[in-house]
Amino acid sequence: MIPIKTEAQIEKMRAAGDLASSVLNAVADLIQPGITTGELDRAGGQFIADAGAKSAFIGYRGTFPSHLCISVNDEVVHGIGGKRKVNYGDIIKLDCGVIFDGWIGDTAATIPVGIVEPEIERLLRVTEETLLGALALVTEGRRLGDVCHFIEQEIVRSGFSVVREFVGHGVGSRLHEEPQIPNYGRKGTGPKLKAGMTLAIEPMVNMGREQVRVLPDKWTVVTKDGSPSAHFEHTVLVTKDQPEVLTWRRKSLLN
Amino acid sequence: MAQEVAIELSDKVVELSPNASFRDEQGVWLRRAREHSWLRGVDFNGTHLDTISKA
Repeated sequence: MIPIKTEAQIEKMRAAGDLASSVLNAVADLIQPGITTGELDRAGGQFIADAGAKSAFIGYRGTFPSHLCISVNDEVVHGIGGKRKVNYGDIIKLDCGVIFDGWIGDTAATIPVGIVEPEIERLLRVTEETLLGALALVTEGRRLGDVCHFIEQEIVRSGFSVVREFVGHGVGSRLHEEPQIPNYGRKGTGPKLKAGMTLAIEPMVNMGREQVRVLPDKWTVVTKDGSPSAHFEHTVLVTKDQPEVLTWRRKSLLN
Repeated sequence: MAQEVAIELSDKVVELSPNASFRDEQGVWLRRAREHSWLRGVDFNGTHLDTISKA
């Protein structure tokens, strides 16, 4: 069953989404060569605490140790903040989830550190633009498979590959609600979208092959072939009219 | 935070973790689940399909 939120619950999700987006922006502003992923994570945790909220990630499944997911270069998702230093030319994936007044906002972006290789920049742009295109399809009455198919089609057409083992999801008072939202699928399949559903759409795109593996820390997902990977995510509300992006950022972090 | 892909069958959920080792029974169950899920017909990562078919 896909939860349908009431207007009061949606109002709380707007606040959580806005906070998640603000924290992501604030941590992104701290990224510079030499800073460690652990320092970025601690800053994110402090921003969240200062707002009277909690990280939706730390302690997830009893073991996730970071406030944010911070994944570098070939790390796809679920990277753990630590001693690794950020280098010029890296790409840093920040994934921020907050629990605010019992409701969750979940958002992610990939940040280039300085000037990156042209093909990596294209990877980031294609991934973000595909997410924005997919969000436009999140309208009442449409099948979820249409959104999934669009993402896969755009990414494959661009010469990249989508990760299959990890997917987007419904989000609300719990981090992972129904439905699962793969970045691949068939048109005309899946649940019909209804006003009041809140979904986290999140293309994870590899420059090389689609296969991934999990590091011995049991969390960090990396590409098997070592190629760079990009990740963008927004929490979006289905309405009777246009989709409402609850984690909207005023500008692309790529600009 | 991305979720590990799972396939739902009635009230049971099986996760297709990249590091999972599937027992025979679970492998059969997963194949059956694929036929019932809304993800039916979607090609999962070949590694998983290999793992399942060998189970």
